[in-house]
Amino acid sequence: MKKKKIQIESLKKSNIHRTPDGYFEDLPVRVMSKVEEQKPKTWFLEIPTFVRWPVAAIPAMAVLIFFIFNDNNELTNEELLASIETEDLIAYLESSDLSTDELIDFSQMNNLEMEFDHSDADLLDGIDFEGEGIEDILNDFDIENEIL
Amino acid sequence: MEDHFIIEQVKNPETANYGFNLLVREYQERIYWHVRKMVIDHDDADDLVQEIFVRVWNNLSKFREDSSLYTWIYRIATNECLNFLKKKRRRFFLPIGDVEGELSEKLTSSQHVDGNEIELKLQKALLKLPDKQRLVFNMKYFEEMKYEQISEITETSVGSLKASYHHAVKKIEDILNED
Repeated sequence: MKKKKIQIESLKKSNIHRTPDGYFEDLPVRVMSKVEEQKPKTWFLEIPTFVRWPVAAIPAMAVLIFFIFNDNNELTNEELLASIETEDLIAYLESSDLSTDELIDFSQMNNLEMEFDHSDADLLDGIDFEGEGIEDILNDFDIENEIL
Repeated sequence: MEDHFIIEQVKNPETANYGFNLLVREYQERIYWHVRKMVIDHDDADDLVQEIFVRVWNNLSKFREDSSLYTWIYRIATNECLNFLKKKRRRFFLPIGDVEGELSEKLTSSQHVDGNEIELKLQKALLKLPDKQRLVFNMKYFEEMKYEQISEITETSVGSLKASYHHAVKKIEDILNED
């Protein structure tokens, strides 16, 4: 005799899984204690990310502004940067619109300036700007011939 | 309990805990069974359900009410289940067959499973389906959801869901009729 084919829709839909006694009575309490335990920020007090970064960047901005507007500033760029916390700098850069390419360009530009400063200093070494040094140089220099 | 009332309570800082308690009580059983059918083991399901509700709490600010609370919570639960199973395979470098074997073993040995021969056979056959197909099958067959509801939760077209369910039914019937 041919065996009758089993069809899913003809089967009784029963749940074979069981839970421990009283499981659903306890679950809300356990969920609430897990919420408390993990201490996620209460969502209605949460500070959005777009506000968090600029707030974190305030110390870096304050130090930069202080040195920019302070005439007695004798610190070099390196010393100035060294005085700012790395985290504050990162936060400032994160919050600014500067792209990585722009930062690289900026750092290369600074390096060029520093190199030029050094060569400039070498060139001007030994010239007496206070006395007659410049006048002597100008007198020795035949401007008209040079231009022509 | 009206979803709108629950959301109002949760969004008010003074009644947030009360509101969230209402939310958990309203959805805990449906979410638990949805998860349990996917992960089989009660302890795993228990951990996941707690994780899901913590996630719900942490993300309620992002809930815009353009879908129902029920759909939104189900979507979180569904993603958690799929991620759990994916991680399980990745963690132990297990091929699909081995996870199926492990879950199948739990069906036979767990003290929290109780079914007759054909019911157990059906559950074991279900484990041979890919996770997403099993999920669709569970929602349609056991939870008796409409395709439109499943479509909202899984963000999949109704046509694809119908095809998936049809294939799942055929595959399971083939397995049940093998002997």
